[in-house]
Amino acid sequence: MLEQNQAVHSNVVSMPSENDLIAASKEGDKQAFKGLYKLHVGRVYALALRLTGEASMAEEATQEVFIQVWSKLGNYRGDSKFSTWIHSVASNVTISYLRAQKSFWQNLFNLEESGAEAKPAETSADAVDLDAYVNRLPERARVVFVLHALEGYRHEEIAEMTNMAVGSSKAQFHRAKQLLKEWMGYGDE
Amino acid sequence: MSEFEKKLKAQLEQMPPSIEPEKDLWVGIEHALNRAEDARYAPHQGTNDNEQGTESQSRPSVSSPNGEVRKKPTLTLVKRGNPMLSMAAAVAFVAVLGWFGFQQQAVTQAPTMASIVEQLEKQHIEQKQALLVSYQSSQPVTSDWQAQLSELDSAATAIKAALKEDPNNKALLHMLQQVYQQQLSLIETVYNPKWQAI
Repeated sequence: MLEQNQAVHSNVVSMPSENDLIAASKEGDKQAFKGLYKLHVGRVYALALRLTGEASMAEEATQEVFIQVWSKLGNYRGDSKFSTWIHSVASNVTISYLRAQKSFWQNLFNLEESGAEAKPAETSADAVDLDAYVNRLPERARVVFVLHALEGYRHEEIAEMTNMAVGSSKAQFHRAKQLLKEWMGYGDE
Repeated sequence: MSEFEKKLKAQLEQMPPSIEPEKDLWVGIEHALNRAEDARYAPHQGTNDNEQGTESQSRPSVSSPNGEVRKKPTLTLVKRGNPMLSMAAAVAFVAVLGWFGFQQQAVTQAPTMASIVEQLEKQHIEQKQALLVSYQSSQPVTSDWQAQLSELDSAATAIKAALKEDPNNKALLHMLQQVYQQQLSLIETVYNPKWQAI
């Protein structure tokens, strides 16, 4: 368990490393997993917030991410950095969460995505807060923009993650950029 | 590179990679993990846990499926074609909610949910009016159907009241939709009955 993995040098007990926490978590140590949660919750939540555009949904998605991470830890072999791996899980789980939410509402109201969210920001370009602008993007454009521009996924990867065509991903990214350009006051360029 | 592209690039680089959630999310995660563990060690009763919304997150597992979140379970307490059962279930559910003071968080969604309820109600009223107008020249097969319609109205009112207290409760919203559907089915049934083939 975690205690056994902690390195003891003379009288100094060092903090467990991320690898120690991962190893202990794989053995079922929830306190170690809490350590991993504390290390990564900020980045996971930031991603979920940007993808969902809403704090309450981001909170639920973040919880779902860590529940899934717990069940999938056995899959992590250390081939990539843990932060990369958990970010990948977070992206997939949050998109899946969004899809589940959306299909619930679509089943209920048969809603189609409209441009209703695409309202221009009222702040000036000088006081630009990109996070606020991104939140205002229509859902598909927002998801593609966050995954491509912020997370660095290729359009082919985004297409696979979101079940859309590669061309659609590119088109949504273009749409997002056009809206941001307009809202940031560069519409005349 | 245009001015916009430069500005966007600079803004992207400045975006914080980490944002701390306002709530402590660990409590819910730990609860889910403990619940899954309890379910794992509990005697197998052969129930369909998926339909009950129970997550099967036990110990970290190699064989877990990758990255899919199940759709949130929706409560299907009533069946179409039985409006009284529907109403009874709706009223019972609302009563139980009131009794236990069941509340959910995420108050931030309240305005959105309220507008959705409003939209649902508006759509329903339009559909109901259209249906009644279409049967204006027909005779209903029973005489007490308006009382049943009124009872369903009461059920819808009770659910809407509960939704005001608990605006993010999707089960309640689903139930409201069911009650509205029962009203439409009732009107269709009394004006245009489909006799069951023997």
